[in-house]
Amino acid sequence: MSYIVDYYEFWIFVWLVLTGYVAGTYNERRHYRSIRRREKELKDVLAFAVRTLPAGRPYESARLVTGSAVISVDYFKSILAALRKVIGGRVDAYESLVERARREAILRMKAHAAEEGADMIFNVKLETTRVFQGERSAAQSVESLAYGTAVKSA
Amino acid sequence: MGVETERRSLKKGVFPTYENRQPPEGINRGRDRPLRDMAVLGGATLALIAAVLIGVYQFGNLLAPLVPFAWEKPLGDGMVKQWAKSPGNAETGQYLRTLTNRLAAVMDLPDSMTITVHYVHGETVNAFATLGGNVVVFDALLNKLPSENGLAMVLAHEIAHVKYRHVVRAMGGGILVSLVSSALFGDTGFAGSLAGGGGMLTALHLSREKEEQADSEALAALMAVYGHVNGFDEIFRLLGDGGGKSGARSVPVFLSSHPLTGPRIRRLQRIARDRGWPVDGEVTPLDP
Repeated sequence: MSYIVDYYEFWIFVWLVLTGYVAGTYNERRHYRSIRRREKELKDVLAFAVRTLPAGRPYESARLVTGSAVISVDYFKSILAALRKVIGGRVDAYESLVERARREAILRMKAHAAEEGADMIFNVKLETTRVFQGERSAAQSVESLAYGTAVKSA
Repeated sequence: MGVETERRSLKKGVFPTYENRQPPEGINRGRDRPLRDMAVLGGATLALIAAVLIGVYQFGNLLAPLVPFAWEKPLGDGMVKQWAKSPGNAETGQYLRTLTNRLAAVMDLPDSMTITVHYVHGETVNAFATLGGNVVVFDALLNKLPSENGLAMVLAHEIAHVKYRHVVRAMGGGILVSLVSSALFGDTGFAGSLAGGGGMLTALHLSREKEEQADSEALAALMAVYGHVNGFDEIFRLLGDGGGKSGARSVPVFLSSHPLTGPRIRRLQRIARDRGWPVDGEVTPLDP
C-alpha cells in the first residue's frame, strides 16, 4: 500500500498513459468513422486547388469559406512521440493526428460552402499550426485551417 | 480529363463534370502499431537510462575514496545531528565507546580515521555507519541483543564500513546519480526519487559485496577481541526474526541490502571453520 502512496507520481503517470491509450484509440476510430461518413455526404461540394474557375464558366456568386479544426494529441501519443524524438524517424503517432485535423478542416470548409449554397470551392489552401497547451509543451494540439473561394454555379 | 479535351469542351460551351473522390486511406498515416512502438522505444530508453546511471554510479564509486577522510568529517557530523538530539543513557554510551575503541584497536584503521559512536534513543532495532566515521546505535537494538559479543559484531561491521570507505563510495555514486538524473528529468520527479533522491537513499543501500566484506572484517575483529567468534550471529537472528522491520526508508537498515540472513550466517560459519576460529566460547553479558 505504501508503495502506491510513495510513488504516486509514477502511478498517476501510468494512469495517464493508459487512459490516453484507451480513450485516444477509441476517439480516433470514432473520428475517422465520422470523417468518412461526412466526406460521402459532402461529396457534391467540390474542392479544387486551382486558383481560378475554368474560363467562361458561369457562376452566380463567390465568397470566402473557411473551416478549421483543433485536434489534441493524447497522453500516450505524446509519450510515444517524445521517445521517437530521441532516435528520429517517422512520428507515426502524430501522423494520424495531422491527417484528421486536415480532413476535418476541409469538411468544415465544405460544410460552410454548402450552407452558402455553393457547389465548388476553388483555390483551396491548408495551413497547419501547433497549439501549445500550457508551458510544458508535452501535450500539444494541432490546428488545421482550410480556406478557399466558394462558387455557386449558375 | 485532358487539357485539350477540356479546352475544346469549353469552346463549345459544354463544361466537363467534376467529382471529388473519397481520398484513399492510409497514405498519410503511419503504420498503426502504437503498442509495439511504445514497447520498443520505451524499453530501449529505460535500458539506456539504466546503463547511464549505473555507469555514473560506478564512476562515483571509484572516485569517492580519493576524497580525504577529513573532508567527510564535517558532512557526517552534520548528518548525525538529528539523532544526537535524543541521546540514550549516558553510562551505556560510555560503555559503547569503550567497546568501540577496543574493536577499532584491532581493526587496523588508517591513522587519520576516527570512529565516533552515538548512542541514541530510537524504536528502530538497528545501527548504521555514516560519513566521517560516525556510527549510530539505537537503544532498541541494545535492549534486544543477548550479549556483548553480538553487539561487538554489529559495531565491528559498521566500523568496517567506515574503514573501507563504503559510505562515501556509495554516497559519491549516489550524489552523481542524483545530479545526472535531475539534469535528465528535472528536479524532483519520480525518476529522481527512484535514482536515490538527494543521494541519501542510495547511500544507505550498500552492495552485497560491501556487506560481505564488512561481515568478514567484523568476524575477524570478534576473534581478535574475544578469542572466539561465538555470538556473531545474534544480530542476524534478531533481524531475521522480523525485529528489523523498522519504520521504513527514513532509517537505514543494517540488513537491508541482502545477503539473506541464512546464507549470510552460513558464509561466516564457513570462514570461521576454514580459519580454525572457535564458534563456541563464553559470551560476555551486556553491561548497559
